[in-house]
Amino acid sequence: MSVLVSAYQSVLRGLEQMSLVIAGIVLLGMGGIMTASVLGKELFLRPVPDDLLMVGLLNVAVIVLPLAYVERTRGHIAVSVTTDWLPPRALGALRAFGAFAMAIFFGGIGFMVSLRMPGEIAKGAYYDGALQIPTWPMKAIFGFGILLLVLRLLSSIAAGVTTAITGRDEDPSLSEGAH
Amino acid sequence: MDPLIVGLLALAVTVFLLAIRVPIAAALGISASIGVFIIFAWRPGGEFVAAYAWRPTLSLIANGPYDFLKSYSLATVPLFILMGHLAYEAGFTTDIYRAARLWLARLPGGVAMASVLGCGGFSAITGSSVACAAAMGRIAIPEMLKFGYSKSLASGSVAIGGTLGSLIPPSILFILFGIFAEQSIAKLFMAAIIPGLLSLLAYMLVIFIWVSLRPEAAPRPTETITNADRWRSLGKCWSIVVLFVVVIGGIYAGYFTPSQAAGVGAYAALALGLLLGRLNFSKIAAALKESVYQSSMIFAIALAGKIYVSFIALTGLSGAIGDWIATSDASLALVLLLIVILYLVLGMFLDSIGIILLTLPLTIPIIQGFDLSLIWFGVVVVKLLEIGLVTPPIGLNVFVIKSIVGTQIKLETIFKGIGVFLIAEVFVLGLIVCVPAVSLWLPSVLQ
Amino acid sequence: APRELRFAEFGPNAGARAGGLEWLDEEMRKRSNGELGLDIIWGGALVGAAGAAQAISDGVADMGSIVPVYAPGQLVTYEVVDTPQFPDEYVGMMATYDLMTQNPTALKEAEDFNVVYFGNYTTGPTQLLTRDKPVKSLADLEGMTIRATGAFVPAIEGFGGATVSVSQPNVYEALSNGSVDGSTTYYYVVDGYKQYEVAKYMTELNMGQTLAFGIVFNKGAYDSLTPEQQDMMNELGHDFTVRMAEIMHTSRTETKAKLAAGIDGKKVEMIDAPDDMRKAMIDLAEKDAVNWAEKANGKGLDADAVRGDFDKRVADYQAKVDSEGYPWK
Ligand code: NA
Ligand code: NA
Repeated sequence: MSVLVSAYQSVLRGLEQMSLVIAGIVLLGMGGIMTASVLGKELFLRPVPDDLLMVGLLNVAVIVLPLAYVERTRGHIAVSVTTDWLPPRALGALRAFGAFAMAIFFGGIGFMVSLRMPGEIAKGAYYDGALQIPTWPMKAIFGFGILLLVLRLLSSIAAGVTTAITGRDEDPSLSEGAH
Repeated sequence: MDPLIVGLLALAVTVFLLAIRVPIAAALGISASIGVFIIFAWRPGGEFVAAYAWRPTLSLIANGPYDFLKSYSLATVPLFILMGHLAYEAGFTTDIYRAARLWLARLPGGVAMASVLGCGGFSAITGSSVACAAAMGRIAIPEMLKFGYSKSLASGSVAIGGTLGSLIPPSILFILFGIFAEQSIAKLFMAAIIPGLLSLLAYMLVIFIWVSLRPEAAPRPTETITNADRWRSLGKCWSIVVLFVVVIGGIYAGYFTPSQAAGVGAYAALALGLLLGRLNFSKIAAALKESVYQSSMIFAIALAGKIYVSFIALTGLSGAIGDWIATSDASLALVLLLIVILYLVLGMFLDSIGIILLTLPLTIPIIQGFDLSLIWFGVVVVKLLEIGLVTPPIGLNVFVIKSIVGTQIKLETIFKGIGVFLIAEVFVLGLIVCVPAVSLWLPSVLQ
Repeated sequence: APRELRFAEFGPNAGARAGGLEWLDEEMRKRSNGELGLDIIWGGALVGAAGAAQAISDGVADMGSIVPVYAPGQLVTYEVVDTPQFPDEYVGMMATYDLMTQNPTALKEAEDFNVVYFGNYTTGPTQLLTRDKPVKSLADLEGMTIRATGAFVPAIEGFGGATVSVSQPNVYEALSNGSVDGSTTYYYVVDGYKQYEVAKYMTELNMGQTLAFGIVFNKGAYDSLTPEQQDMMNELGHDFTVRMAEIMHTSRTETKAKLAAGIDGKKVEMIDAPDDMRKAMIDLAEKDAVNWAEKANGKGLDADAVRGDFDKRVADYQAKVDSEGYPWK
């Protein structure tokens, strides 16, 4: 059992790390497209075709890929002043509930967006423009980022429940109340 | 069930979820989604039929955020953040803050004032307050903390300074207002300049008073500073000056738009850092990592906020309040007061663009009915929206700052810092509302 | 109490199109004896332009304004109406209305997408607004940076201009700081988006209009109406389209006069595009229609048949206008 759990954790960590790196590269690419478009227009009267569309689409990856990593470091912002006085067990329960709420909300979005993908692939749907960029690939990345987040949230729920039972937080340095 | 009641209940649920430490994104998203579901399932006068509600609810909560994330104008925010991080990693910001500290050593809270001034300058680059707070926050807060500034002063001054982003032109909020109100955008931009500068001045005054009363909030340099030190520190600032000149100059000379300035600015910081040998692979990697991390945190909340706006639109809440004000036969003063309260309350929960879309169709006819200047009203509305960015529980600029400082500073500490500035905001707002000339004088002489 | 259909409108409650929608709401209440009305949610507060078609298909709103290009692959037949280059609002809108309510391919696509077509808008003919250099001939385009979309991209690049994409609300800033020298635009947009404040010249190209731009019902909402209400709404959709054609036609003439006279002292100088310039640009723009045909064939539609059907309807309405004039005169 614990072997499985630690395998789950290490695979998840690896994927989160990878997603973070990809998001960083994509962000650099976004700026590159904008800059190249400006230079291309000034120097050769040729801006990058479909630059607005591409930059917008790439932004989806920049936002969604790091979501799981942010959750791992307990970075998703919450209000803590109202509950700081609670004992660790109660805070564990709240943490589990908060992660559950995140999983329902983001999981719902990811599921619905991914659901449209097969139809779009079948129809060959693409965004109007010079490059005829297909609609589905960014939705696939969106779905992947959300899936990763949900997997991480499951682990947060488990950690919260553990704290609620044992009264111990496995990594209190990360929690707001510790400061 | 009456959609109005659903709306009010959902607001209560939001506050409850926030209070029990549900992450802000989920608290907004879940309460809005449940509200949307109830409205679709429970048509006025009909029975509750859950089957009606699944498809539209899921459609709204999925497509809305996806379309929101893939919009070009929002994509500039992560790039402005990257520009801030690259400038920080290259040490450009350290240079300028060292100079500010040495030159402003005698001024109480001098470095905080310099930060607010920097926000004012940055707002001439970007039309977005969130981008302004994000980039300036990364530049300013770590430096202020290094100098021993109090957490609430350091974070509060940048959060409030960031609100200048949409008040001082260029500003997407004024463009939207101009389109809705059929008013000259050029005049709106001009009208906002004096109120923007007044706000800036008010923030500096607050810092002055704050630090005069509590000197420990902003310790002055203890070492002896010679004039040679001062000039040497200034000499080191040329790199960040070049960066600002490239970006501001590029915009005003017409090489690129304020949106493109985000990408160009990030690459200019990158190129400058590499040329000067002040950036290497690990520093660039760190900047990229921090940028996407922070963007992800901020947008997770912003996309949930998008659903919240759609939900409020479905409830007809703002329409009902608008109708109520319009038909109340109240005096001008009372109507203005009610409108101000409406914007402040919506500003507690919703984002600025959402509020514009929801309210302008209702408030503009009311203002026209009293034969008041819509240019003046535009400035009032944008100022109110900017205040909404820093009021609890949902203050996007505050979350932006929180995303920069991580666990170093607690959310309520930032809100506390802002609380002090809000006193000044009340005065500035009162002046803008009661003395229309503050807004209307400049456009009248420049015509 | 009347049943209020929830209507998602992405535009503001100001300008020519908003006037048409207010007329629609009043007319609906009148013709249904107070049984039906609209609850219009303006400004995209419920859903924006990009998401509107899908949202109405899903029932987020009962009705709403849509641009089918934003729902890739769903209403491809509808998109054909943007391929031919001609300026007449009434002819274009009525031909589109008939195509969307009679062509079997169009009806099938709408049904598959869970929407029912109601009526049409138009942007009016495409013009070229320039900042500080008048464009009086093809040679003037050389080296200029113009904001353009769709078929106008090849039409401008073919004559040595650069094109950039800038979203309509951001055109003001782009013109204002000179990062574009001009923009393809429409009279009502020049007025509504205040573009005349930051540009001095307008070359009247009178090229094609955006006609793939209209109102649809959610199918469930339409089906929930009584047969009498459906008949009333079908007729109203037709009358709305005629009314909108009149509004857009007169608003173009009025805006033109207003811009020439100057608004708040900001004048726009009107330039008639020479015939050869207009013709040459239209030739290039028309060639862009292959992209649509490819898309339609890719979806298994008969592109030639659809385009042929639309062209015939356009020709018929043009003949009718030539002999009888517009219905509102
Ligand atoms: Na600004
Ligand atoms: Na707020």
